[in-house]
Amino acid sequence: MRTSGLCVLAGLFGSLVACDYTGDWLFAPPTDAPGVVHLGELVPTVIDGETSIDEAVIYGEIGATGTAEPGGVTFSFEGTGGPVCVWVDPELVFWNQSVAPQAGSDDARWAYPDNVFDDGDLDLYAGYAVYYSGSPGEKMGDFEIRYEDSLGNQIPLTLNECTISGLNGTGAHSGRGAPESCTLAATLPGVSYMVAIEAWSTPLDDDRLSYGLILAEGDCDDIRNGITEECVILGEARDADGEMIPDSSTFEVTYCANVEGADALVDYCETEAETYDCSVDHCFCGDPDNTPTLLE
Amino acid sequence: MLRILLNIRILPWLAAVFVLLSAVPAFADTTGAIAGTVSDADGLPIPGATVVLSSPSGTIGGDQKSVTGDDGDYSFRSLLPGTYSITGSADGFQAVTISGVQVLIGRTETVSVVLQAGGSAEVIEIESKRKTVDVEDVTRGEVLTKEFLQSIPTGRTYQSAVSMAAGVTGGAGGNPNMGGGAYNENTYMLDGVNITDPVTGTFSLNFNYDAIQQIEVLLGGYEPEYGISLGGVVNVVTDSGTNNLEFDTAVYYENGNWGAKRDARYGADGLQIAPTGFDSNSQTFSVSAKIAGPVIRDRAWFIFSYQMARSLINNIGVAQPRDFEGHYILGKLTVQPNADHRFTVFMQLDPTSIDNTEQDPNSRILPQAQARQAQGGYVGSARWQWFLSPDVNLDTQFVTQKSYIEVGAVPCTHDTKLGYHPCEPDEQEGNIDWETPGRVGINGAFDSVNYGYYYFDDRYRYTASSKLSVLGITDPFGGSHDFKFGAEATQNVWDQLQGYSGNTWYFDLNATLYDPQTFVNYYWLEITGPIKFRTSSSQWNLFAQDSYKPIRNLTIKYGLRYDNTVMRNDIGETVINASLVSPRLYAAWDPFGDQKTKIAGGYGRFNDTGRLGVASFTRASGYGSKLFLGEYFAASEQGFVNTSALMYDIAPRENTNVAHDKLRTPRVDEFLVLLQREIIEDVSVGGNFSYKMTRFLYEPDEVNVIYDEDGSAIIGSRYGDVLNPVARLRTPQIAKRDYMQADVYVDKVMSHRWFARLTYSYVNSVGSSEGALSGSFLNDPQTQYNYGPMFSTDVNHQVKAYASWELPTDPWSQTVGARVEYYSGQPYDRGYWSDVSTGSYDLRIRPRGEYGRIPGTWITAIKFQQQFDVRKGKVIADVEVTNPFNFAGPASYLIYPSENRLVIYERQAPFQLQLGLRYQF
Amino acid sequence: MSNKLNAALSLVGALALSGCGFKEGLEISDMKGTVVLPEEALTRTFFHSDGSSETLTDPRLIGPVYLGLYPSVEEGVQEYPYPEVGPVFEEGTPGDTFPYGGTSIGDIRFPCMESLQCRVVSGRYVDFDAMQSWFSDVLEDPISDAQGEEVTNGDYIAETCFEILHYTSEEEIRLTATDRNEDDVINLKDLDFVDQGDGTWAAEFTLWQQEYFQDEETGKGFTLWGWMDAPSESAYKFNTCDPTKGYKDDTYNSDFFAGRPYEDLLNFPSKYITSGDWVSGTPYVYQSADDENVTITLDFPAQVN
Repeated sequence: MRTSGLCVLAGLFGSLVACDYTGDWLFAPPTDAPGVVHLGELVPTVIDGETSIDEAVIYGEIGATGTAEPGGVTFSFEGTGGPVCVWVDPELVFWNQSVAPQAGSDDARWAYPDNVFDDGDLDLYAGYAVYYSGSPGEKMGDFEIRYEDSLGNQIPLTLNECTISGLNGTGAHSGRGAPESCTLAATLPGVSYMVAIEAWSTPLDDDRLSYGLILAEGDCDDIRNGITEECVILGEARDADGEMIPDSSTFEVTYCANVEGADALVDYCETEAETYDCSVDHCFCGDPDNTPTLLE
Repeated sequence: MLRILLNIRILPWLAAVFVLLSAVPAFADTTGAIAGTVSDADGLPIPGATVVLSSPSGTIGGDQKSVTGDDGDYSFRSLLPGTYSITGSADGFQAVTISGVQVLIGRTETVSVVLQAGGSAEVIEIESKRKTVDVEDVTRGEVLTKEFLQSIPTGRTYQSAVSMAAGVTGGAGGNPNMGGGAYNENTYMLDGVNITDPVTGTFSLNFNYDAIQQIEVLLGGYEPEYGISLGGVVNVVTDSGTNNLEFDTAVYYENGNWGAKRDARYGADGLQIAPTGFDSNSQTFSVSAKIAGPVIRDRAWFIFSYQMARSLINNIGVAQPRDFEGHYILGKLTVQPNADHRFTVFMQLDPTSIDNTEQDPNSRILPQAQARQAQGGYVGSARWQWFLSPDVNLDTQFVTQKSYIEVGAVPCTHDTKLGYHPCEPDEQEGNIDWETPGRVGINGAFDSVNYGYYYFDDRYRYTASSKLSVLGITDPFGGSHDFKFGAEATQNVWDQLQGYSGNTWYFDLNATLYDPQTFVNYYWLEITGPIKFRTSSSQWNLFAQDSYKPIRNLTIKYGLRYDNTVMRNDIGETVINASLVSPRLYAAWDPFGDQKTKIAGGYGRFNDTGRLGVASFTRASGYGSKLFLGEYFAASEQGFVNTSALMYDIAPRENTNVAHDKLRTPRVDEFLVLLQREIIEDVSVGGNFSYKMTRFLYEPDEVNVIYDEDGSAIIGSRYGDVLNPVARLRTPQIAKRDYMQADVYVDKVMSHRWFARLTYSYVNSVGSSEGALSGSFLNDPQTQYNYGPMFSTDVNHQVKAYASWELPTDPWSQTVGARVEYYSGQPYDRGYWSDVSTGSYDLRIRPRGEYGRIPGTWITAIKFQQQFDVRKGKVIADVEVTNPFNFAGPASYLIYPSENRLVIYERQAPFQLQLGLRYQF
Repeated sequence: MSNKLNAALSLVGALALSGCGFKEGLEISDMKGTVVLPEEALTRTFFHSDGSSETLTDPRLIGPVYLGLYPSVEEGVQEYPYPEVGPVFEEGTPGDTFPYGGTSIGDIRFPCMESLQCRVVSGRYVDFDAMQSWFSDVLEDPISDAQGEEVTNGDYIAETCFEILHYTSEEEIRLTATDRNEDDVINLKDLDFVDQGDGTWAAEFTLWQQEYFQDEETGKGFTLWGWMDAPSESAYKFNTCDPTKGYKDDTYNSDFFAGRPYEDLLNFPSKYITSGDWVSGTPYVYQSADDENVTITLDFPAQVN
């Protein structure tokens, strides 16, 4: 009697434990792409007639940290005495279907859900290296310090000198897939600067985020020279071997054309959906059939 | 005192106790005692008389025997709650058996045995009379016995049964306000084990109502062993079994069509407040079984109980009912192989799932996204009671507890008859889509507030405790002492993982069912990935207490408790580190020495050792979020490709909450007076007066934003960014409450088949801080801190009455029980919508609580039980009717402070019926 | 043995009582004081459409007064005294301050009429008639209602406010005076600023629950400084009021906001101080949290290019 009773209890206990989860699988599994990367000391490129933007781009890839700790890319450079532009573009474009078309339009089937293939997001910070609190290559940090006023009160101050301009207005970071850039005006010669590109998120499908990066002398607006932001760096969507994903730059160019007024992206998406099985293949526009079943 | 201890060679045991350090923050009494005097007809004590304790259903460890001393005294201690018989005999006297002696938790039942001279072998049988006045009890509260729980209609949960004690009001989520405390300031104990949620301070376990033997409800005046609580203590003791094999199975059913309905038509001021679809349908089932009995007669008893509770509630307009399914399993084995040792192993589990938690008819949740909340946990304890002598015992207990909450989606199924989330044709059975935004979580997906939030929460408590009781010590002056010494230690851990599916959530402007043809993205948020973090605390305590009787009719209960608590946030910072001393001194006097009058009272301090929810205030783990405006805003500009603007950007791990470096912990100082007098046989009248001063409540204040004169607009900030309020957790002296309660009552104990109690309470409750860590002061920042009524506890007039009568209709048995409660209305505020920084803001313009009070409410209920004898047992039909005479009176109100109106939110429907059928043998 | 027992009992007693004298280590108090305005600050000449002119000294010419507590104030650096604090991150942005606290005397309020957006301050009007006549008779810019009709009496404003704000007494919305001095008469003496009869007008202020800071070396606490935002000459509007934010009321249209103060008034006062405003020329430096008779005078007429 007692034994069987205990067995029942043990069985119930076991089943209870089996139902209880920690949710750890919700963290990205570690990939061979590291979550925190330090590129070392870089030298700002001079983009002119001899060196084009394409030649100045450094391509790379980062993975997920696998924990709640953020990952990202850091590098340092020495001030030039003049302005220095930092430009970073994560794969692929700042667009997801959920925000694209007008309700009720023919394109509405692109309204939902999100495209998990391109939802990585990089946020750009830069400042004096001495103020950077992270451990390059190991742990991301920030440029926060505390200032003591005349009555001894501690005032928190942010010494990030990278004020994002462009796509999302001044001072704000952009969203997934969108480039960010800032110009560090009048860098001090011989002073070490740190650039911290924090990975806000990595794509949910494979947790690998490829990116393109430019560190160049001069003002970002001059380097961009009127090109649509998304198309300053092209072809940053790369596979694990570092090879550009086919058609990705075509998609970017189509996207930029759309931004510039052409109505090309719907056609691109429709064609892509007809050509590929988007529930299996890598469709830049996402899977239009992956919408929830409506209630009958 | 120490010399006496040394004399009885107790010091080694004392040392052993302190070596065994580790435990629950409270280690409640779960047993009671019987004591008394054997005397002759002239009242002279009979030394050397034999007193035997027995029970018709057996006594664990076998019948006990006690021989009276010179003063004729005898005692039986550490008795499981229940009913016993006492047989007294002595040479030259006729033996007497007194049966039906009821032992209550934490109480000593005094039974005087009067023997008649004579040598007859016949034993005189006497039915015990219930004690009308407990002249040694200094607590304010009640013990709810099994006969109360079974015959009084209280809704069949321990939380609702507790509401019948004077000074218990409203509360939240089944957690009452007890004795002026907040809903999260009570201590809940199950078989001596603290089952209070270590994070929230609320109850954390459900279990089979029919397995409860007694509930001790304490609102004040309790000794250090019961620990610390700013509110009250709910000490539930379950059955342990007997020598008889007992079986009890019951089915209960309640249909919500008979139940309280929300008033969907008109408010008190004639305004329509909600569509009629606001009503709901519900059904509640409960199936339970309990089996208890002997493993070995008099040596080992067991109880196993199971209850399945299921309720289906759906709002009209929502196809899928909120489906609550709980399984409450309790097992206990009590083994007493000899007179010296008793072992108790106890396990309680309550795995529960709640599907389709979103029931807003306007959101029209899709099946793919309906949320499941899984919750439950277990508590297990191993206890060893070592009876070194009849008067000395060592009680050691190890406890482990876990509770969890998981919020995700209802898993998909291909079985169309089962489940609420049909799988897609190619979808794996049981799949949950964690990657697509809005597919899991609270509120589900595709509704107006479309955040797919998942949450995994695990809470652990590891405790061990030891208590040494040295009872019946006589000091050189003739006084007697019951000493208890305890040492306890606890480790609490709280693990959380949370995030958003797809790391995104959307807000549909149309706020309706998702439809690609109508979906208008109003705004959306990008969220960083899931976060995972741990909060923890270490606590230990020591206590010493004495129940001292310097003379026979005076009991002085005094003691001291020391608590040490250290609470750490997720990055290991110590948020609270406190050493707390709680002295208690109470006395009870029986001025006429006739057990019919009591004058009692005293002072006690109760320190709160804190909850992990407080330590988590300064947690550093947090999401980053970016808010973007959707195509609704961008549409006019560039059509297909959005130019949506980033509206704000909160960096990950950003938390501007800080804690003051000199935090202390809240505490209560209580002053208590208890008066009681038996006026006629079995009937007493009494009066209680309690004054509780609660100080140093946890309250954050905001130190960044600077307001204008009336606190209605921001005009500056200390740290340069008004969007970054800096909340600083404090325990300021101004965060306080004062609570006064005066009761008068008439109490009729069980006799002649009926019992009843009527209590009227006058309560006055004021303060500046409603609950511990309520989020902010009830006052606007940088305006005058007000000191006004406490909304939930300042219910000035409270009436509670209950009665039960067992009809003399043998062989059948009928029981009628009834309860009536009245609560005068609580205060409410008047405010109007202002605008502070980012939106509307309810600004109070009068001192809080002065504006008005909601009308009073009545609750009535009646319960009929009809018992039929059947082969090998009995069947009981059980009908509980709530509000039979109260035709749709208001049950609760919604307060619109900004519109200066009060509307009826719930009405009580007549004939709320619960039907039950039980079978027992 | 008994000595040890005594010591132990003493210790226990001390511990038991230790909670009584608990000090948080924060010096927090309700700091009260007085703000004085010279009569010139509320004196203005009005030229009426009929060619006449009148010079009025009227409390309705007193705009909201903003008071801030600052770490230090350096005099004579700019054209008018302003708090000079800490690092200035953005070159050319004076007074990038980190105030410790502050309050206002009179709040910018929405008196339920779109045409009164950013034009009414609490504590300046005896009643609604005084509000109506001020705009109609003195400013010759009558209040118009939601239909564009001219408002000809104060009751109409009051009724509109009852409808919109559901208020139950004047105290609740503080648009007009209540019997503050408890003399059973509601008159000019119940307004924020009261004529002192010596050419000055004075108002009381309270900084509720203010945490106090002091430099241990100099023994000086923080500095109280403030200014009065005078209504603009042309439109009788307050330039510390942000018309794009605040209480939103669809009675007019969904785009209408009632206006409220800018949120960085005390952080960047120089952004908002314009000619005609009155500034404290001699800020008050606290010596302790319990300073009595704290008074600052807004005696310095701002001249801003």
